[in-house]
Amino acid sequence: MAIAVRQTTGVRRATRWFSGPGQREALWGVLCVLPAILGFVLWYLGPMVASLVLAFTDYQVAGGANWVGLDNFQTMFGSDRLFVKALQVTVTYSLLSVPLRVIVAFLLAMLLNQRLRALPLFRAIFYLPSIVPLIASSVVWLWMFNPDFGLLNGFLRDLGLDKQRWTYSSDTVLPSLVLMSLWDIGPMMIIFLAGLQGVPRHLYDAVSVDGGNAWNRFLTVTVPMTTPTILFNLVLSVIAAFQTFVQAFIMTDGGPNNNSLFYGFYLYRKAFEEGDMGYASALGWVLFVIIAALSVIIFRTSNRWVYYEGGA
Amino acid sequence: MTSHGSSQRNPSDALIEHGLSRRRLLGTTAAAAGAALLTSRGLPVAAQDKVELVFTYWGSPQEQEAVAQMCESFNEQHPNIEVRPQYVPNDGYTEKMTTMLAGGTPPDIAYMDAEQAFDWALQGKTLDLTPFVQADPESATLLPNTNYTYDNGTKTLSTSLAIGIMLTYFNKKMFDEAGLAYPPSKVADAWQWNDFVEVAKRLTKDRSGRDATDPAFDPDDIDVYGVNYQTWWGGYMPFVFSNGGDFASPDGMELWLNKPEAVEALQNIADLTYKHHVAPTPSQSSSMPATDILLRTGKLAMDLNGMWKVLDYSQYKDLDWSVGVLPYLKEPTTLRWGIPIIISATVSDPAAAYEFYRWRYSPERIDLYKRGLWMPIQGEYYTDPAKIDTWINGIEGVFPPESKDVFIDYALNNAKQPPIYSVMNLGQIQNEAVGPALQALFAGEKTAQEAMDEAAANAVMQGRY
Repeated sequence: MAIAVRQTTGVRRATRWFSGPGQREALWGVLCVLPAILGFVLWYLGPMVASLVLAFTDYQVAGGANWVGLDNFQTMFGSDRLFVKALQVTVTYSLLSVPLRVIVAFLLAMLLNQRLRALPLFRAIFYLPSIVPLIASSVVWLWMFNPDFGLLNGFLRDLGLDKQRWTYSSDTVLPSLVLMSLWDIGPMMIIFLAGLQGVPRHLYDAVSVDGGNAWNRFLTVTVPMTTPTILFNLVLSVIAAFQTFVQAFIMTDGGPNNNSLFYGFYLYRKAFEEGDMGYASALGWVLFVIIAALSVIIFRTSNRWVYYEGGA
Repeated sequence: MTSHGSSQRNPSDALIEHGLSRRRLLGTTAAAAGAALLTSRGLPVAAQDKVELVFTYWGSPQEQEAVAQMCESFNEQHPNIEVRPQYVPNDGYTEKMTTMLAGGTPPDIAYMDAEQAFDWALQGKTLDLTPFVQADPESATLLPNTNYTYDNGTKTLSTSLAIGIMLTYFNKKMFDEAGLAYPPSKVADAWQWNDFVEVAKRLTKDRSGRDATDPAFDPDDIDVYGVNYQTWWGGYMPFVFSNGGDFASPDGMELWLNKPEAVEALQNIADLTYKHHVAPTPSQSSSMPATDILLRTGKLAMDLNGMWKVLDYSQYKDLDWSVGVLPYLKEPTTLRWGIPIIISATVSDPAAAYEFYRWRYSPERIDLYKRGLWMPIQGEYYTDPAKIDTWINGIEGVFPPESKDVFIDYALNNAKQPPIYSVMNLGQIQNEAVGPALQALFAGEKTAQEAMDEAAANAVMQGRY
């Protein structure tokens, strides 16, 4: 009897799950996102878990994998000179490029938020470089940086200034790449533009009524009202800066003298050139932790400087 | 070598060690095409029991074509074997091999970067060729020091793909116009380094037409360069050896590029650019047309380069060129080597694979020798006049008349084995220690002593195979 009851309940439950308009919709919903879920599990989650495990092994592509515990991390923080170098390069690059990119994109967005003639044309022009794939623009920039025939040294010559060696000198390679990073700020600029256009006009009017000038309007209205956009762009560009790879891969091979040995490039070299997958996985997870920590820090401190209109 | 310095390297020469060039341009497109070939492997064999073999290689477009032809003619003469050539571009080749192995589908036969080949061999991923080589009469006559061996020489990873040496190419017309003697082709007449520098100075001209011996010569406005050198080991090791130096100590546990002999040789090379102003800087050469174009258009007089360039130079009917031996410091020296070519341990039919493997030995079966891309690895092709003719005089007008002096005598008697045959962990040593140091040296940022002391401190030396 008890069994029968239980069976009945089970059946009823199952029926309920698949019947009822809401439930059926939920089922369809799950089915429809299934490709995305499967894609995530198979192509992201699976490899991530695998690499987490591999980070604790000495897995060589040509050989097997042995559990080595924390050895990889000990090597990294103990004796790997290039790990330190790669971190230095990446952090320096991020410190230089992130603020510069955010500020320039913001100012550009302000400019393009004016009532100008042919405004859509200018917006398109400034967005255009972002459409070019990074590989192609890296090749173009390589030519612009060329010390002998490059466009940039041509400008310097015309201004009567000294030639620079740009990416060909260990002193100037990082600043050169920072300069190049301004090339593709189009998307960031567009987001700022959207943010700027969301600033209510009446606030500006209020400042004007109180006798405020343009600088006051900028400082007391524009900046506070766009802080959520700034936060968004800041987080994204920090993450992107830490993942920089293509420039080293295409343009500099990490040189000269390892001065553009970006973390991502060093990881790639370990994994695919030297076949040292275990160590490369460990490097990958350290990078993950660094980026996650930075993101958390930025978000934690954001309540001190980000203003949400709704009051969050 | 690496980065900017590598751009001078012909982007695609099978003989030189692959994988050190890091200037990648749109490298990995062939991967997708390759995948299609791979999926057919391991499926049940067709009706007549045909053995299918995948052969992976890199090279210039011409080489891609020539090697594909070689496979085709092999297939025609071996109805029971079907070799499928799988071309992978130079840039990204090592990475492609890594991913193929990790994916469980290594190629059956493959060109391979030496360091990677040793890695695979030590892990048992390649076939030990010793029994095949011993049983093969053609393998018995291979030139000495051209096999890649491991486990104290008891196992054979590979015979060299073919042979290449380093030499001097030059534009005859430019020497005639300057009233200078040609670079000698006979070892006995080889130029001492200082004589070579003097000649290079006479051939280097600024845009006002003054040569580099003129006090008014403007090194910032050079129009014609006397010489171009390679910045990878093929470029500097002949001179390091020539001066009595070596890449590493005999036990391989110490980098020797910072020893006085090596430092002097390296400094001499860098001085060609920064002291004598007779050679372009790495950044200049990266932006100039390929050296063959420069030599052809009279903007470069001498090109210190690899044997395989004969294939390219011989195609320019408007260029009057020839070959000579390299200048020397103490002893005339060149390098003699070929990259490894491996058979995978997973190959379904080792005998069939070896049949294809040895097919390349004979210049009479493959035209890559007489077309000037490869030199034979069998000794008799250097000693038997009739056999010499099969390649050096195989096609009229490919090899210049002086070729026998350079490609036979010099190659047989004055050649050393480069570090790729023996130095362990070479890839990492190059990536992390020697490469950056050479970049600094050839960029004029450091002296050879400073750069190489730093390299020696950074190099993770692990011995020799």
